[in-house]
Amino acid sequence: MGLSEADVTKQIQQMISFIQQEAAEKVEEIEAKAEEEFNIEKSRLVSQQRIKIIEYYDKKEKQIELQRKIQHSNLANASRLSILKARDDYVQTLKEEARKQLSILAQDRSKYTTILANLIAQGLFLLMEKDVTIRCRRNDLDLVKQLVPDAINRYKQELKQKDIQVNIDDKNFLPDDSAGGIELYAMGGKIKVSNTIEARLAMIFNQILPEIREKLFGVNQNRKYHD
Amino acid sequence: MLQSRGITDLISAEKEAQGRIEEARKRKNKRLKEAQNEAKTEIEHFKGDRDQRYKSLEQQQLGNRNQMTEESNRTTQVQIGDLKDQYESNKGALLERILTLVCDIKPESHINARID
Repeated sequence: MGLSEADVTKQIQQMISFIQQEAAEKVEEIEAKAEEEFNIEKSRLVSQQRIKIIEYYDKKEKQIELQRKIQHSNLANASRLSILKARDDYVQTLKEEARKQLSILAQDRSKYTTILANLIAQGLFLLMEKDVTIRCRRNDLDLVKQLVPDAINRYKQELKQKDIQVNIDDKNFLPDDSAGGIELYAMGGKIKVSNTIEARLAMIFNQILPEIREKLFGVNQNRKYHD
Repeated sequence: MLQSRGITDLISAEKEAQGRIEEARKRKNKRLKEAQNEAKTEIEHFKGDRDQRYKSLEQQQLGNRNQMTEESNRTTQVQIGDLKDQYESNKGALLERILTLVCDIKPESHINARID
């Protein structure tokens, strides 16, 4: 009535364009939002997982380092121990070597006689007992019988008032493979003095161990005090 | 007649617009889902790299392990060898000293016993 056909068509066209434009803008908006949310979500997921993964592998790598350190320490330890063991072995070897040489020494008659005489006298002085029994090797029996009187004299000379009786055990002997020397007994066997070559060796060896170690292995660099 | 055709056109334009908006929304959801998948792929890739790095470190350590052991053993053996040399060169003097000490016997009475 008021509008012509052309006007109506135009208006409808306009409305349609409007609708289409609105829709297009909305679609654009949706697409932009989509892209934004996509990026946010993706980077959120990625960094979340990244942190976990980094943590996990850092821990594992620390483990490797720890293993390495443990192994290093174990090796150092084992090394130290074997060296110490080797040292100890050499010290024992030295002792054994000394023992062997001492055994041979016993065969030098004159030297051994002096030694034996001294050992007997020393034993008597140590005991200071009235009734002493001496035990020796089977082979030394005669030699000891020879030397005892002199030893008794020495004893009596030194300790003016002491009387003493010395018996020599002819039933029990020191083992034949011992290096020599004597054992002295008093008070029915309750007191014993071991004045054998082996006993002397053991005692002296222990006493000079520090010297032995120093001569064999050098001065200890780790030692702080020397007095 | 003209009016109803106009309205039909409007209605179908509206419908088409809604349709496009709907499609955009669907694409958006799809894109969001893609985010998950893409993130997963990227993470897998990252993990793979890291894992490889770790494995090569592990291998290296294994190799070093043997080398360390061998070297430690070698050093130890050398030191033990030195010990032997020291022993051999010093034992003569030491044995002499020991023997001298063992054979040097001084029988003495106890100091208190000498008083009377």
